[in-house]
Amino acid sequence: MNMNYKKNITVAIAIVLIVASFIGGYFTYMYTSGKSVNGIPSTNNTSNRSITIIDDTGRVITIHGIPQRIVSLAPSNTEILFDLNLRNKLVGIDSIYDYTTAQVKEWGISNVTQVTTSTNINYEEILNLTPDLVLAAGITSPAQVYKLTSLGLTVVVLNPENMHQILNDIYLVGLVCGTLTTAKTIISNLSAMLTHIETTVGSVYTKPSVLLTYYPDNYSMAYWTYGPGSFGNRLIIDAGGYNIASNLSLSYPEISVGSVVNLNPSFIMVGVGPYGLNITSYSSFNPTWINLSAVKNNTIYGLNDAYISEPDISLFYVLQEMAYILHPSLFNLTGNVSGRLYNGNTPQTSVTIKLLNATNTVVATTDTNATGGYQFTGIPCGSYKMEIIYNGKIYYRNINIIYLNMVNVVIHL
Amino acid sequence: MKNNIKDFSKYNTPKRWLITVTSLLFLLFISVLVSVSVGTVKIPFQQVMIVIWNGIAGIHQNSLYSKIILQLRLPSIIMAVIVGVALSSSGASLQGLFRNPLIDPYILGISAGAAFGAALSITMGFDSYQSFYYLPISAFIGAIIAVTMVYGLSYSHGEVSNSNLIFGGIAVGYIFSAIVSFLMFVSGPHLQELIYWLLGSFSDALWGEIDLILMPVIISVFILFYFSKELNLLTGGEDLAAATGVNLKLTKNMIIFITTLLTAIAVSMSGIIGFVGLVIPHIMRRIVGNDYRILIPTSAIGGAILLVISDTIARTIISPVIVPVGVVTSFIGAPFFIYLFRRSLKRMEVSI
Repeated sequence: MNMNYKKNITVAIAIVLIVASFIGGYFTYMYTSGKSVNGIPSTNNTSNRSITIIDDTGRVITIHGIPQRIVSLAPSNTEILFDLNLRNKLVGIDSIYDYTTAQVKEWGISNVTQVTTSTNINYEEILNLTPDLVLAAGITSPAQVYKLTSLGLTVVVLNPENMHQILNDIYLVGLVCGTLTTAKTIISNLSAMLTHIETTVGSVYTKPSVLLTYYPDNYSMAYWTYGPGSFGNRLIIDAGGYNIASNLSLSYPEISVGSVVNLNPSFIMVGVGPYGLNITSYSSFNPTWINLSAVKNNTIYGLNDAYISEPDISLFYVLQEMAYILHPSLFNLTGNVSGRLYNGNTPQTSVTIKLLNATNTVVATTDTNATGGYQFTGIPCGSYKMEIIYNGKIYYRNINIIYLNMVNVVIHL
Repeated sequence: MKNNIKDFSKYNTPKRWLITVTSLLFLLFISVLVSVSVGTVKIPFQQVMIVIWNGIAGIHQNSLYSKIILQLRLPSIIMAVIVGVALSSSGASLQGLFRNPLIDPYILGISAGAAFGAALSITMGFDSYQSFYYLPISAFIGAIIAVTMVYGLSYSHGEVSNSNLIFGGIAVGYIFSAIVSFLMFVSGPHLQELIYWLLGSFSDALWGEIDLILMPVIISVFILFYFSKELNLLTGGEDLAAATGVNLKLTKNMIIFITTLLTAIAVSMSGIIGFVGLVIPHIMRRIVGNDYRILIPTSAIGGAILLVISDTIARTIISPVIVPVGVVTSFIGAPFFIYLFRRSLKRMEVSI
């Protein structure tokens, strides 16, 4: 009993010690983390400029000189740097960026080091690149930003939540990197476009319903879509549409095939492109696809999925495309269509193709050339029908002409 | 039992103890040295030594090498050491307390509780980019809440039985895991951050965090070591131990309290790193025997060595890609454990 009593006292002392060491450690922690870490002075330039900015997360950052070596931790940041003609200063890039070999060549980024693997940051690689600016994003966690700052790096976090904040971020990067003039030009163009779209669709009372999906889930028979609070939802609202997923409770929910049939959206917009999807990937597993009114009315559109998932300038082009798709009559815009005419595998020459509008009036006529090619240019955007008379038979083909896009339609008779 | 007694007599001399612990410490030292010298950036070994020496001497350095070594590699490695010590000494003590070889430090729902706390913090966005500390704190609190629930559920007729604790741990663990799965489902843009945390990592470790947890971990491990005599007596069963004068209630409560503290600290700092707490004590048992006076310190050091090696491999194996450390831990630890297990089967020395 006496022994146990002694043991109790020892244990009590030990617990007091643990608590005391925790408190001691806490104060050390607070003391060390409270010290402000300023960016390392840039050794790469002679500019004496020193500016203090506030980034999208409210962090106050002082930047000495004009950054000459920049690391981007998100595709949207990289895009902004490209738009501001800063690609030569880019030394490090994330691995999420959807490069194709052609893009790497075209953008001249073959010498840029990848510094992340999925969400894992290789801090050593970043330090080794001796950057004087690290552009982080919403996908960079607070812990990672904290670690980067503790390494003495200048970290600016860009985390835009709407179209106007993207413009602010372009301004911020332009200010920090000394390309403010370019930034201002881009911003004035984009904000003019934004204002134009906002005022034009603002007067519309009937908002067509839209399903915007970026990934088909053929196992659970559902589509990944954008719910309230997401960028995709914002896009649809700004383009004058009604998002059928806007009353779901999640930001990035899945919507089942059944719900899509029930809600029967007037427009279906699907992510296609760099991530390897096409419209067939969305329709092939869905037996109810042909019952959708969007399918019957041919109002299914493919949007570049790299564009719709990254908050940067390309989102403005998506917005423009979307606003035009939803309200073609409000915008006096034109587009082009081209393609080839085949019978089996033989291209058909000198066949007359007529372009009919919604009221079956002929808008334009052309003959296919020696390789079966045809082209209509400067056609007001909207839904059309191509009429082909071949061997006494009349063939029809529905097409949509979209602003800025060269629609390519290959016709097999 | 026969084997246990043999093992006791084999390793209980102070000289033996000193030799074993010192040689393991030496091994740890070597692995830390190797770990600090390798990485994505190639730094000559001489430079590594100079930087560390200058760092110890307190000379201000601002070179690239000093940043990589002192601000990046050393904090991660020391965090790996601390987490390894915390998890495997807890694992060894709990296995002794429960007299069950399948016990790991997460048995009382700590990992699920901590994951719940972390998931809540991440999905609710407690942490801003200006102040980062809610994530570890809520993971720690989540872990403590889980164990408190388990302990409360197991309490009946003035005592807490082992099987109740294990069942309670499993039940509470499942509840919290379900909540975590739900939070992952609704986390939206935060999902990646949450998965990254759950996989476990030392690469975000900061010196400030080490300052905070170093002393509590050291003291806690000493307390576990202090209870090794009771754990030895417990190998014969609770009744036998009580008959030889072990204060069962105190021993059980203290070991549960201290291991919870250690595991919660480890998990809140580096995420959920499995395997170490379960298998390192077994590996050490097969090397040094069943005497907890030597098993606890050797397990602690062994856990540290395994995590340092794993972290090194994770950082270098397909550099510049950093593999999650938890993957590597199981990958190198499990074959070694199988080897030891088969060897002991051949020698007919099956004992836990």
